[in-house]
Amino acid sequence: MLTATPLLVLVMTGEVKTYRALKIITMDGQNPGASHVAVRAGKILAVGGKALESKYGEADAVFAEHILVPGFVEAHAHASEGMIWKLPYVGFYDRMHPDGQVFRGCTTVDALVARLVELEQALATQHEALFAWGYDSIYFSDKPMRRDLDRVSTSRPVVLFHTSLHLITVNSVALELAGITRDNRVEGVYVDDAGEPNGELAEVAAMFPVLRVVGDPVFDVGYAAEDVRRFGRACHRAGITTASDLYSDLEPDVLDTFDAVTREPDFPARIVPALATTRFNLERLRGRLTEISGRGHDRLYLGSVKIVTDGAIAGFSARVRQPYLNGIENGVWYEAPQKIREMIRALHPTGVRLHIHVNGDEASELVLQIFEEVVAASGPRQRHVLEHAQMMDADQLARAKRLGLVVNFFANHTYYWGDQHRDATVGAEIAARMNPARTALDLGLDVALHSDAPVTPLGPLFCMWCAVNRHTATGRDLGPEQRISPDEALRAVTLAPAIGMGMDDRVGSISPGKYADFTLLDRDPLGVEPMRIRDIRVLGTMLGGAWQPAVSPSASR
Amino acid sequence: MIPLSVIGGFLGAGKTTFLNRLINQADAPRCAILVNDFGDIAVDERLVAQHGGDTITLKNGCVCCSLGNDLGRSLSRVLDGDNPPQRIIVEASGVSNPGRIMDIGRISPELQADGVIVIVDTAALQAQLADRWIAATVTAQLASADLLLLSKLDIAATRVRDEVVARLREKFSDTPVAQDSEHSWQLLAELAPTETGPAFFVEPHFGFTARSVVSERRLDLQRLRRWMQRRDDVYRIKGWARLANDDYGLLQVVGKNLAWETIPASDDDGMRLVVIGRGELPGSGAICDAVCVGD
Repeated sequence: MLTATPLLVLVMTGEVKTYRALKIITMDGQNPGASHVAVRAGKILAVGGKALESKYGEADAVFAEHILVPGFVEAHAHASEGMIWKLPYVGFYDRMHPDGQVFRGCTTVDALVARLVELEQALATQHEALFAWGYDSIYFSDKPMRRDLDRVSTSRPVVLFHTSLHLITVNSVALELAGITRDNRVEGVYVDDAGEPNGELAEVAAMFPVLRVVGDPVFDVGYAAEDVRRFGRACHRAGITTASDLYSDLEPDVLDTFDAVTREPDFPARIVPALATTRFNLERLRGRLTEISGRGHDRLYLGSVKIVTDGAIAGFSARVRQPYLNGIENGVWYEAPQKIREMIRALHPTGVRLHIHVNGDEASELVLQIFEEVVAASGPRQRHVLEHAQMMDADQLARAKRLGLVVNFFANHTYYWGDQHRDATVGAEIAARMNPARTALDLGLDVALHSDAPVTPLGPLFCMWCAVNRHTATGRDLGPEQRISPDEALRAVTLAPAIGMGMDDRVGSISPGKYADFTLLDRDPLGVEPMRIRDIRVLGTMLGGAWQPAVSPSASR
Repeated sequence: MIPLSVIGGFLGAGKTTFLNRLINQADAPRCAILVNDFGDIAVDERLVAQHGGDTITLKNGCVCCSLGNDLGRSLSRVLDGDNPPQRIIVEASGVSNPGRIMDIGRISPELQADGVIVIVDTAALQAQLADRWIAATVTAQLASADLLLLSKLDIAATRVRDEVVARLREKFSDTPVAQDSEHSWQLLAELAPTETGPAFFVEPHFGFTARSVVSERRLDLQRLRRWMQRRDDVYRIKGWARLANDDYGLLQVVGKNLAWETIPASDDDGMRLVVIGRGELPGSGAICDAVCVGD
């Protein structure tokens, strides 16, 4: 019988720590269930049963009553989740601040006005503008207008940022200061039946005169270290140990901030920013990739690229193959198809991983055609990700599978906008087919799920709940044929996104050699009633072997 | 109010070439040029006063800045600078609708909408309008133009050019079509008269005529409106004039829309208008008789 030789003991430097849990769900097909995990130098040394204790010593019982899963991997979020909370939240749905305070949803115009009045009274100076975010007019049949906001203040500007940030709703003072009247308006300045601007201003031109007067309280300022820390806290609270930041310019000062903050000893997540192509041509994109290479470390992963091809379905700006219900023929391209082709053609052979935003099915069609050309010419290489991929059909998914692409569905849409997609954007038939995780899994694709925070809240358990149950916010079934199992859903928020991000060699499952990144849950997501998955609590996370318990949420408001 | 012009056109149409010419013209009026892709801007080093980050300052007072991700924020930065420009030129991205960008100039009290130039890749247009992915995008861009500027004439066959001109004139009959030339500034000035006076048409234009009207007579806005309603061959008038009540101001007429803005002037400033239309327009004396206060 072999025993450890002195040489082996020498190599095994670093203290080994063993943990036991009620159950460990590894997401590792070779070893799906376990009770013990041994950790050394921030990485997983071994996964197994009680026998690990005889090898590595008695297990720490801190997790003993609970369920350990791989640290969640948020496949598509934005670090601006850490910025936007500088403003008070007034959205329709309850939402938790990164520091745990729960803001109750404002579900009626009166509730919204009451909340704003409260906020208005707390403002320090007499004429400063009141800002709030998270509002979405799509949820209101009697949507709030300038007259409602005039109930909040007739002396200071009131400015509500919609969740999409493409729209604001303002009061009369703001319109007056901006000089917007029935005679001075452009497309995007919405009017009431009498032809007067109703306070809703869409897109840059209509918003400009107002923001010019009141300032943009969020994005004028840029990233501060505290914003990145706040994003980290939001991730930690949701059980996320690896989070993408899927649209970044990575300007030198932004990169410096991210670099410094993610190196702070207690920063709780690995951040994966993707460089956005929007502002660059190919040559300069390559230049920027070269500039940032070597700046990454084990909590900051650089080098992937984000291409945004089209808009959003709820904004009628996604590129679709059939017109929208309201008669809008089609959405818009955010990049020229020929530039998208040029970028993919040039970057695929260099190994750069591409995250390609395709909301509408015409956008996914374009990108599939490009990949078919590119893969035919230079072969399959690194896996790329189709982001959102909301309207892909079975034929497109089959082609994506052949091309080795990963699909990352916007699962939360089913809940937050499912009713609206059915009634207002694309209709019941298409809405039922959106985010088709079942079809994709049956075709053998790697399927990830995401929140797109701050568009919807960070929360992999909630993404799982959406894909498993496919309920809209009003409790209706939407495309139950596309439901997936809790096990499949858990893979879609752990290992599958890790594959999509090219990080499955280090995160995404509880497997020897990977980082000791775990999330501790109070109940078993594979065991609870599927409708209870979203009620499971995150008790804390371990990042690289360092345990950080969840901080109790403060009181609701 | 600072005049704002927007330069649009699909990816590869020649916007950067146009802008580079604009920037490198040494006698350019002090302007701010906001571009999408800063790296494509090629400024003659002899003209550069300062090169920093995302802004190049030229010796002639022009600045060229990167648009960044937020047009509104970039514009604010320009407007709030120590030395605000005399005019602002924004490059629209290759897929955006320049008309929607120009809405900023239409609505902002600080800005004056001063023309959308859409540059047309003459050699590629026919293919673009037949391309399933981009036909609608390109069409929307063309429709937003105050002036369509044909580029790449050196690589487009004469037959192709003629077909393109015919097609544009059929679809966008109210929009003048001109040939891109070395005279970027004159093309801009034609859209928007500046303090240096209304510029005159840069030849060759395709089927459009211009009349310049210079006179000491007083303009009658009512008569002008009535005259415009009778003349469907006149689609545009720009310039300065004095009214019967002695107000001096800036006049812009596009189709049936007439805009008048009173501005300070010295007593000897007279009427200087450019009238743009189709076919044989009346002579400047006849125009004067039709739109000025009767003797």
